[in-house]
Amino acid sequence: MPGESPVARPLRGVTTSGLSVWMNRAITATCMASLIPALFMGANQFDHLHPLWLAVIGGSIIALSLLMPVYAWLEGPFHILAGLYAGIVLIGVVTWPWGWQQGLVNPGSPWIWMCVGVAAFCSAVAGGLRVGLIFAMVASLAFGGIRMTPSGGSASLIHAAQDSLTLLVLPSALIVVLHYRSALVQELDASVAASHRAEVDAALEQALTEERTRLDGIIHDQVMTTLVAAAQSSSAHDPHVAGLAARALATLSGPERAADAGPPVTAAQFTRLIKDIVESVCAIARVRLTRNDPALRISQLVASTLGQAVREATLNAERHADATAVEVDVAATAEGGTSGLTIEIADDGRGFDPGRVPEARLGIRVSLIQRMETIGGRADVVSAPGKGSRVTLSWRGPDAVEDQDSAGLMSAVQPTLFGYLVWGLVAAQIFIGWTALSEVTSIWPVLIAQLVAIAAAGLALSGTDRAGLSLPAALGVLGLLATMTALVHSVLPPGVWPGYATWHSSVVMVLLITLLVRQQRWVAWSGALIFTGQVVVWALQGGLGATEIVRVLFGTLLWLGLASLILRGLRSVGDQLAALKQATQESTKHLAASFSALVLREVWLTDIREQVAPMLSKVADPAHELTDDERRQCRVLEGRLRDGLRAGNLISRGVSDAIGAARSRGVDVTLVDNRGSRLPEPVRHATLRQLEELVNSTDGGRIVARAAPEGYPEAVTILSVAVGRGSRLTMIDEAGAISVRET
Amino acid sequence: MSVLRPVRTVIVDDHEAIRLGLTAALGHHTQQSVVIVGSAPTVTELLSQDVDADVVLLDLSLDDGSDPKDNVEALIDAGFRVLVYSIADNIRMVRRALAGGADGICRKAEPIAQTVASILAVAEGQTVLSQEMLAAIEGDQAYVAASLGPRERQVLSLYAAGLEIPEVARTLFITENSVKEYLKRIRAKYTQVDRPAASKLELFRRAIEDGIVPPVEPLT
Repeated sequence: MPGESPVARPLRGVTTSGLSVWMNRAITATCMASLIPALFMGANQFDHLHPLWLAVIGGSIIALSLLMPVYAWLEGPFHILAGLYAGIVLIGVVTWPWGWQQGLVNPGSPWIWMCVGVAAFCSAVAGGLRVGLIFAMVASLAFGGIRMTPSGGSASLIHAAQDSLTLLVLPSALIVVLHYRSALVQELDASVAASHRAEVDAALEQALTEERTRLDGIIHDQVMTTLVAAAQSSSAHDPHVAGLAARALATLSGPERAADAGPPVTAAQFTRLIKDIVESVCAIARVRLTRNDPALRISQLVASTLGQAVREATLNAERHADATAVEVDVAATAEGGTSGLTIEIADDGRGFDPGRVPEARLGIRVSLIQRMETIGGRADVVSAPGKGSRVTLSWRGPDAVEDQDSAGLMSAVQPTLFGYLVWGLVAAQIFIGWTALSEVTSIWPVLIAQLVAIAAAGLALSGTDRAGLSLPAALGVLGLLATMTALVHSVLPPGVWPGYATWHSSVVMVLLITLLVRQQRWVAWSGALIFTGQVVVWALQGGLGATEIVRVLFGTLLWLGLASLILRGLRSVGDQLAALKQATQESTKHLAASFSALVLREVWLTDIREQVAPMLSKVADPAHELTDDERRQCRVLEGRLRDGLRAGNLISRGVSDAIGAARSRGVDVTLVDNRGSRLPEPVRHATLRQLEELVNSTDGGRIVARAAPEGYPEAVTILSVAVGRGSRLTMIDEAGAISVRET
Repeated sequence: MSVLRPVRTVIVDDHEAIRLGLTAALGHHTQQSVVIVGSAPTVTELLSQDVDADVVLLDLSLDDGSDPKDNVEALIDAGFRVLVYSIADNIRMVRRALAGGADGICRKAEPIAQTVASILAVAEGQTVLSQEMLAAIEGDQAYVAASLGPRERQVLSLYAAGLEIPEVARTLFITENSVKEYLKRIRAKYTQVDRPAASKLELFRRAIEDGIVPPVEPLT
């Protein structure tokens, strides 16, 4: 698919409709399938029902069951249909005694029983988890109630309770599964949103590339060209050069706030940004994130303004304080609906009396405070002579943006929760079995079978720290289930329908589904086959007919099939989800890196403006005549920008200043950065210190500092050649150790 | 060695201020050993003018977005000798020009006398070795690893670190001439090295190298 986004399209289909379509089709199949046993059961009941009731309720159930596939197929508003189905079934249950015409006692159980479970499931599709569970409860109680009326077979309380319990437990369990599924769909939606964010990221990166190109272009093409042209110009005023300077000035003072469009940043990203900024200004400063709050999000505007304020405060410490240590602590908080950042820049320098601040430092204080005010923050300066100084920048903002990251697929199929569900269902069946102890010929085999059932459940749920179950364990479960079935069948009374004495069929179903979930598909279906065989043998031996076989097998096989379908859907979605997550994480990583570069550039551009704007104004001024000294300054400025573009590893603000001064004294300083990456911190630290000392102590001659390509024994070499003397080569290795060689 | 007639030089630069400024500056400084006989904003335009000149001062990033390697090759084919004349261009563009066979590099910001000396040397057919040029080559790690022997790498490393030829010779206990030979060979081998192209594609690759844009597989 050339020209199309490779990530988002197919997955969006999977989430919003794909899995729902799977589910809808599975429900449709179940609704239609449940018509068959309902017809079986209802065969001798239809005559006794009021034709109008039969037409309205029965007709609606059949009509809706037949309409469902159409909606599921055409992806129409399926939930409306599902809600209607649930509503009709509930009305049918409640009005059943009125629909039952004659005063006869119903010889069986009302056929609508077959539809109640599915209806509960449908109600959950239409209204969610809570509606589904309430529906299951109300419908099962209502059914228990009518079961005790003549129309419902005048069942005893215990039989009615058995029916109610069965109707409550199984559908409720499935509704909880459905809830997992909707959590999964939500997670997928979040992932799709994330993949959308990935597209946004890509767009941002594109914008960043363009921005870099634009900035490099401005510096190179306009500012540096102007400075060179001015330095070369022989006449006092050259209109061409003045034109260049005016254009460069206009571009530099262009829109300052380009960065606000981007996504907000976390405290950790912000700290990284501060690190970058501070390092370029003051080599001895240490930046720490003293308190993090993962929920904090700061807009890029705030981040870049804070960054500039930090830069200014650190620069101030570097220039005026004579400090031996500068510490920058970043603390993030996000509580009570506001997020906040506090940044402290503390130095151990000479300090000053805030009451008698020198003019230069007052200016910095004022500009710091003004800068902070533009984003609704504040700056406080505390200092005393000889006691260092401490600048506190604080910002409080509106509510932190919650990150929509979901806990992942495992949260949707939590092993422990799944375990509880299985245990709950098995326990309920065992309880139902107890209530039917009067139906069997001997109690002890039933009780032993129940112990076997518990053992089978324990084995099926063993080792849930892994998703899959081992083959021996799965086969063991199969053996235990077969034993349990044989034990139960051995005490069922021959020739009569044993009622809830067949509780074991539900246990078989639940545990076979467990095997399916735990990736033992073939074993699960083999178990279904074995169980079918056992049921058929039991029915034939006991002289029972097809109806009884269907009644025992129907539920087990139907739910097993349904679970199999749902699991298949979940598996394919899970695979894609995992792939998508990885892609999203990677793109987020890139975003973090690119973001800091972007904001850093903005800070850097402001820096450049401060450096070159005064000189550019002079060049652009038609009334101004450039002196030779100003031409020299133009060259020095050009060299400074060149170093900034080409030798980022070798300069800080302090080193830049020193080099500028040295060049003005006539020292030839060359910086070469052949390293493809950032210098390790100790190397950079040692380099900047050495370079600054060397540059400051040289009055002529030549200095060449070079960052070697990665993998060289010495990371940085600094060559200094004094006039009339030999040269000295300072080498700094990858650990920051310094060695000197005189040549 | 004296030059019998002034070296005829043309400037290719997209900034008029630079072209005019350099023309005037050379007029003041050279005692007619170098004369500017023409200028153009692009290589294509210069070639269409049919100028008779010895040396071309070539800016690297021109307005037409042309590739420095193509530009240098076109100029050499037309019989010129090429001296790169740049500000602080992207190092990869410098390498492109070197791969195209440029005879030397000089910087716009350097004193005019130095530029004149480079022009004269190039006109005489010398390869102008400079620390900047060899540092640019050294930074191309793939080339250094693939094409240079251990001795060549040592020489290159010391020279790129700023040592002069006699110092490099003393340090390695070889003659100055051998150092020069090594450097010339390193420079010569670099011609025709296929470095990534300039302009938009180059920018894109550069963005990938800098980790801004993740690499993508081409669509088939």
